[in-house]
Amino acid sequence: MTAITVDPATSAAPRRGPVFIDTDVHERVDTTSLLPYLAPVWHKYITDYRWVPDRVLPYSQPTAGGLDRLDSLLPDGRPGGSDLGWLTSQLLDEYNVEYAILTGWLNASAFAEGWMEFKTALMSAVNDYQAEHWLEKEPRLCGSVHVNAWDTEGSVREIDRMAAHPGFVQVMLYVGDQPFGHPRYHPIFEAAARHGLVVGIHHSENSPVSMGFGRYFAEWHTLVPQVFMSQMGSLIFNGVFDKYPDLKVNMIEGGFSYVPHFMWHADQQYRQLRHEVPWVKRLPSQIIRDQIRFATQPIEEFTAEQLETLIGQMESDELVCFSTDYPHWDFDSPLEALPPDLNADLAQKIFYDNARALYQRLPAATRVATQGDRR
Amino acid sequence: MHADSVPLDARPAVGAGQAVCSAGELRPGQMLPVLADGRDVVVIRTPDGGLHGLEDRCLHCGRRLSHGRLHVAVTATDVGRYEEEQGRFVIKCSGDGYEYDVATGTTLFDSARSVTRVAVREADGAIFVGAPAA
Ligand code: FES
Repeated sequence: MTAITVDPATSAAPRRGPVFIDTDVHERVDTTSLLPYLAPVWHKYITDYRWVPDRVLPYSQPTAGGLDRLDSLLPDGRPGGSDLGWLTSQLLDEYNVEYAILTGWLNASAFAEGWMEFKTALMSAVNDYQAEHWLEKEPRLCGSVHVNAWDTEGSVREIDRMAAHPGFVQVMLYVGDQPFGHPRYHPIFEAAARHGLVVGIHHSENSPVSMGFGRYFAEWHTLVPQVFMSQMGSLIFNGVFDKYPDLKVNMIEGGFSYVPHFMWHADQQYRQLRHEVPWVKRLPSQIIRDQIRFATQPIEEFTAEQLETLIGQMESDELVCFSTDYPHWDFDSPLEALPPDLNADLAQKIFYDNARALYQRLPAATRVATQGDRR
Repeated sequence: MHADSVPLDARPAVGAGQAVCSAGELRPGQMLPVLADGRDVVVIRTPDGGLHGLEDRCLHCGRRLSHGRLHVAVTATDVGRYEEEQGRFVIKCSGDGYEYDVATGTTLFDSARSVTRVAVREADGAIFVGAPAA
């Protein structure tokens, strides 16, 4: 793989904006780079038979750079997030990132169920590659253990294996069309909680919304929060949080403005229908406040008053964690995503404190995090 | 004497300390709405013979609890494992279904919310409704 040379003049520029923890950064690896981490029995499927990851989205991402921000595409044609030097220059050194949590690109939990053996092996290769080429080269990066959720036993084995590496802070589940509250997945949540790993639930191009994909990307992309509401309903009413009270889940790439609505509606259902789900022991809104967090991106363009009202409706200012979604096209800049006149204490919690409290395996703070200049 | 069989205008209206019915009239599994000293009360005889009194008004929209259903409480120690809690009884409101523990008046969805308990006692072959229980 070609390393990209970063212009030293750019990389030496002072970092801008508040100190923050970025809870959604996509590093990327092409499948041929995974060959050294895969048993030889699998190689021909990539080299000769041209396996490609499942992708069921019926349209392109209709933006200037496709899935990626145009300026994140590499001069050699590789997609955004493929090169450590480029990512460091455009994100880690450009802004005041204390830690960036890698969320990857290739995650078999969002694929169809078949051929579990290959996909489980592929996830191990992704994790080994991530450790060697990203985590061990840049201390500001933290890792996610990718698993193939269809293979519960294989997922637990992989979580136990990668938890021994201190760079991993999270288990990553991309969403396809299966709700993760089903008891078949519970051992994955048990294993994550046992190791102090957050479970990151991330949207994907294989997640339909409630009536399918719709005819247009804009239609589907507008309704992405439905996917997260479905996952929350599934996890809560299937008792996952009652069963694993130490578990923490971060909902990534769905925003958070749907949360008050969900809390109100789910609480009402619980008050009326508790006897049907008697393994649920707390009001859903309380479960959310105790055990679920939300990455900000793609944040709406709120006024300070709107955002403060929304947070007030969630009855906690500890639920929302900043994320950029670098290098994707709808990247949220820490300089612009939050309204400039937002209450400073709230901004500090969103940019830094909430993620620090959530990710127990993050290394100790390297700097005193302050609000600083957000411009 | 299920509550549904007692028209509201036929509720016994009694003063403080007066008997509301004979002990034999309220059989296990039955509820009796009464107007006791101007206060709406549901007197409950649980299937195991226990006697309880609650203010007869749901916290949600004020429906009479005596119009609801008396059940054994349902709990679970794991997902999908429904279990009856022997000896614990609930009234499920006829409206949106709030559940109340008949012995404590507390809702099963939130231990911080309760209807007021009312003291009831059985003596000399009759059932008496007293002041709200402490
Ligand atoms: S009035 Fe009782 S649940 Fe609505």
